[in-house]
Amino acid sequence: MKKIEPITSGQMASLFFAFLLGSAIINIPQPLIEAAKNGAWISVILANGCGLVLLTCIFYVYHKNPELNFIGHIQQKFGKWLMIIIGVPIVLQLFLMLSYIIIDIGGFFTNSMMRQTPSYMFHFFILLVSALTVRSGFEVMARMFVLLLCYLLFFSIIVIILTVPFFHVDFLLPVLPDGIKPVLHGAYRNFGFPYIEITLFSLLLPFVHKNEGKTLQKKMFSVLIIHGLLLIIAVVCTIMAFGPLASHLKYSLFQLARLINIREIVTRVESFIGIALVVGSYMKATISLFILKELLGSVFQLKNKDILIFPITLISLLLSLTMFTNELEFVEAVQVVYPLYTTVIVVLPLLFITIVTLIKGRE
Amino acid sequence: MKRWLTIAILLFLTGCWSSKELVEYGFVMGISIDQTENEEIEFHAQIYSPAETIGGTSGGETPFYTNINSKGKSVFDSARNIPVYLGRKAQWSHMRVVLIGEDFAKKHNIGDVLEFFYRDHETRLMSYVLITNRKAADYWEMKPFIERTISQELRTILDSSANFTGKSKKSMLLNVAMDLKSKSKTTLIPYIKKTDNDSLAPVANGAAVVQEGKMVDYLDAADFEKIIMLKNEYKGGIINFPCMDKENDKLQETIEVAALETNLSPQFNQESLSIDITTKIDGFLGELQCSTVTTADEVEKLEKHIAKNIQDDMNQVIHYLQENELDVLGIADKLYQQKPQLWKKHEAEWGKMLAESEVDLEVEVKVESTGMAGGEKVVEE
Amino acid sequence: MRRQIVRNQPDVISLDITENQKQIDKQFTNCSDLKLFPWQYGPKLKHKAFSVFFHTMVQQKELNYMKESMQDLVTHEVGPAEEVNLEDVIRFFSKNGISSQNAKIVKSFDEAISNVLSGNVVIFFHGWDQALSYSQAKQVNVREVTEPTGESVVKGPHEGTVEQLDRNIGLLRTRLQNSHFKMEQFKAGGTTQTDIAYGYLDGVVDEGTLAEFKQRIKRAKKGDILETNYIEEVIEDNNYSPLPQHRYTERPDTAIAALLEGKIVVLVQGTGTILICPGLLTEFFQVSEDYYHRVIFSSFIRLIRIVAFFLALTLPSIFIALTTFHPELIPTNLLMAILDTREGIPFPAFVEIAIMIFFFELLREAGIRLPKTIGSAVSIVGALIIGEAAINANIASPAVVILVALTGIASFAIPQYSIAISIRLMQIPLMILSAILGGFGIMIGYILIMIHITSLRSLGQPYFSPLTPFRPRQILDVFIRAPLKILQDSPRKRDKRNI
Repeated sequence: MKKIEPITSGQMASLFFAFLLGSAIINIPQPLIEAAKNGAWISVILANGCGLVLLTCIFYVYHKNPELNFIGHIQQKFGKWLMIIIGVPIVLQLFLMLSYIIIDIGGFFTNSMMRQTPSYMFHFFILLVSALTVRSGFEVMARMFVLLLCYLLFFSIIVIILTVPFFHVDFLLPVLPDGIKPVLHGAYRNFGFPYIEITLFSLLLPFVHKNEGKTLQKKMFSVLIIHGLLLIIAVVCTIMAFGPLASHLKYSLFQLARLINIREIVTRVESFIGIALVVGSYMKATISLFILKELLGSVFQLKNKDILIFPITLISLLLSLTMFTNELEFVEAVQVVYPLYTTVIVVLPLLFITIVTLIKGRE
Repeated sequence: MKRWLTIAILLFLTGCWSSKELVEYGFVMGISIDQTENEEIEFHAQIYSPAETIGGTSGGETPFYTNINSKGKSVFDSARNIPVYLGRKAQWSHMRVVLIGEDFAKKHNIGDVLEFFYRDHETRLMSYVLITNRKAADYWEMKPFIERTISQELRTILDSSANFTGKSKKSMLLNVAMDLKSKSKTTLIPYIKKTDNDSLAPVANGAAVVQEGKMVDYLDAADFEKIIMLKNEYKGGIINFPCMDKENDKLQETIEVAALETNLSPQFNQESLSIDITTKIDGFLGELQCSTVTTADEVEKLEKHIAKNIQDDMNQVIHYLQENELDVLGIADKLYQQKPQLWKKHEAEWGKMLAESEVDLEVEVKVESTGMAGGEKVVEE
Repeated sequence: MRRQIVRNQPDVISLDITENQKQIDKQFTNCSDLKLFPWQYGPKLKHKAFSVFFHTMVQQKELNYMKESMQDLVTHEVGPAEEVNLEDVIRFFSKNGISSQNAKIVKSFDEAISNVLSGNVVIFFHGWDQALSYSQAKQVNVREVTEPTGESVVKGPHEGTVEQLDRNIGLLRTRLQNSHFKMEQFKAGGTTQTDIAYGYLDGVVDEGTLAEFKQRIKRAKKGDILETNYIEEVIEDNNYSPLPQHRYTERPDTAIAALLEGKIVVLVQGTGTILICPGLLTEFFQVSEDYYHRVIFSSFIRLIRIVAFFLALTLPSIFIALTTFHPELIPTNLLMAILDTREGIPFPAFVEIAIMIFFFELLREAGIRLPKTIGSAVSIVGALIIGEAAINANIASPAVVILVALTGIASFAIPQYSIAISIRLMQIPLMILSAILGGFGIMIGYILIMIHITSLRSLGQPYFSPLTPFRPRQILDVFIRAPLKILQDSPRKRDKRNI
């Protein structure tokens, strides 16, 4: 197995950004606006705030010992069995997350562009490419994603700029016609997707150069804040362009791109956004695959973790094809169930270890 | 080696489901929806028919389109019947216009038929929607003047009318949905009719008022112009006004509008509603028939005269809207945006509230210059 | 399995001249261009000696160098020529006496043979177990220094390398007059025994890369070397990748620029192409001429090249994907134009493009082999048949013909030929993927290509640097050409982390 060489903090921050942006960019902001109407941007702020809190906990634990992720910390303090008890549900949850990402992108393609193609083709190819990427090594992933991320950001921002003629600022009012509850509902949805997955990403932190801990912290916090800003901009632009329709039109960024029509030449640029969506999902799937491989490898105490890649991919493929019988089951699973059990499985252990470290630190 | 071979063979055996050559598609340029006697939807589609280019030169007099009509119970049903007549699958992404017959619009909720266009993946929100005088299907018989298909011509008619004359507007599927879903539930859809009773050329003339999905009224070009000014969507055009002195008030002079801005601010109190509207117009002199505009005083006088004229016309239109409880100006939205709780209280009796509201209109006109000639009529009698 | 050539020859030079002569005859049987020239010297011309050389490699005029040396011996050391004997000769040459023609002492038979093969004149003396070798004789007809055909510039030096190793090294040395410019030479190649030289700028070249290179070039000693490509295949990281990992040039100024950046150049006797290692992807778009023109113009041309790269790679696939899977993505007016041309064409888009590209490649290949006189006929044939007639017969559509022509032209706009051909090769899987899965297929293809590029290494350095890993200082030379004062300003910080 190739020894995994450490990467720079800049690359880790880019991976983080890609991870957060990856599948959020497909669906958000339609579910948020559906729940929170015009106050959706406040939901984003709230969810982002929770994410910042989580990130603080993670870094607190990280600085105590940069070599271990928080599961390693649990193992260190409480022994192997607790780690396995906590680790196994996390592994299951990662399987689910990976399958959800694939189902998402398959759903996007079969809905919007190529309806006759069965979804297993999309699932198969994305998983295949992800598996190949993970196989070729962590450094390759880190290097490539920096470039892909630039592409993603560039085109998203261009699309948003080009749709400015369609904006009606008065659609943003009224902000809270029905009180604060819809906003909290939206925050709940946004928290589950993607902010709660910060905790899962933290399992990768030991792969950075040891002496870059401080810059890593700064960079990751700025990434989180920038990501929040981007989501807010996307939500606000969707509301401004579509008004009352914003909660109805799925794949908001894609539909925004469809509006652009400059002199009949710069038109139909949603293809670039489509590519961006696929690339984003692919990046997130690859990173999740990598985290899963690492975690499973350390749970089973394997020396050569690469052999796990293709079995995991196969299981994910099967899961993504068979888990849900129709689209709405999936939507409900993601919007209602997912945040809740991820909180229980991942966030609670993280908070637990943070508190324990805090207490032990004071002694 | 065997492994790669099997994978390669698998890939080719599976076939390409979504793959279709361009020639297997029939690109729909426009559709029209009409009502039949027995409550079915009559559905006509105009399909682009490419010119057979043999040796690089185009063929003879074959038109660039063919018309297909099908009947069905729903729009999607009729749409899927097109291959039965045409031999090719319909492709919706380049659809230019949707024509809705007047009768249909008056009796049915147009949202019902437009639903297909919002949900399908091929259709785009940028197709224009029009309501036609009499039967929509008749419009497909017309030959376009310059463009290749009448659908494209209708689209360019709307674009240029909106930009240069102000006598019509362009309304996309996007606008229709947004307006109908907003609190005022009213939208303006451009209206076309034939130039004479028998001619085969369309003309854009004003707009239909569609409230809660049904067409309830029609505004002709003159009224429509004022409405567009009030909605602050006027892009350009000319304004006619009669001469200042009484003997010649049959003659009309014109100014060309360079910029127009309207500020509409409703004032909401607990029980009553008052609306303040200020319109500022900047223009250039277009035609002089009887006035002379050589000194600053004379310009001011002319400006006031024009402003009063426009004000009178606008007030007339606003009265008409109020009497018929047509919230074309979108005042309900403004109320909802500023005071949502108040809106919820008055939602049920909004029409009455609108009818009883006080409207205070003020128009300001500025004549920037007299054009390329001086301030007097060029060719005197 | 090539048959190895077995040598069996004595290692030492015998004292008996007839023995040596017999060995030479045995070694060089059937080599009719070998000349054995016996002569005598000394008092009463009693002492025997003979010269051995290949007359095809040696200038006819100055055959007997010994005469010059003898004269010097006579005039400076001993008395009249008749009195010279073997001990004088041995003393003179062993102690490096000055002579207008200088000789080298050859100590073993092996060395003597290899000197003869190199084109030297080797002289054996009766009674001496060493021989003399004169290398000034070497003169094979060489080509004049002309501009290389594949790399001509509008403004700049028009010199190109020739086939002689020494001359090429000379061309480099005059441009880089610095003692840190090291040039190491060795013989390699089992049967061909070619001279290979590699050079680097000590202090600028990366230590690790140099060590890696030295280790790899040892593998070159076994096989036969005819051209620098043989060496490239031996030292490169990935033999099966379509992308080249080293650059070629026939221009000395390009080689010097590469040396100044810390690269290693390899030259081979018998060919003028210089190998520059390592080669990174972004360098394939740089030409020496960029630095001889103004900044804005060079940056503009660079951008055009990068666009050409993408066009050449994906234009056919994009066309196939758009016309068969995503007609909704084509602007309406363009779609009308394409529709008009595609009506009535018997082939689906993928087949049509494949046929056109095949014809284009055929034309190109044919054009290379044809002599110049028929070359113009080929272009007429190509234009008429493929262009006009096919369109008129409605077999090909004009849009596709334009597309294929544009793709071909775009691939020619890329300066390095090796990457242009690899692009044409990579078009084909992309076309297949796009025919199966449309735009999604192109994306998958691109991601696979990117995985390959980012995991490729050239002599240990990441191939896609300086884009990733991100080296901001060197980006200034990729998409644009920054002014020279910025490019040459501060010393390049070498990043120790090999990420």
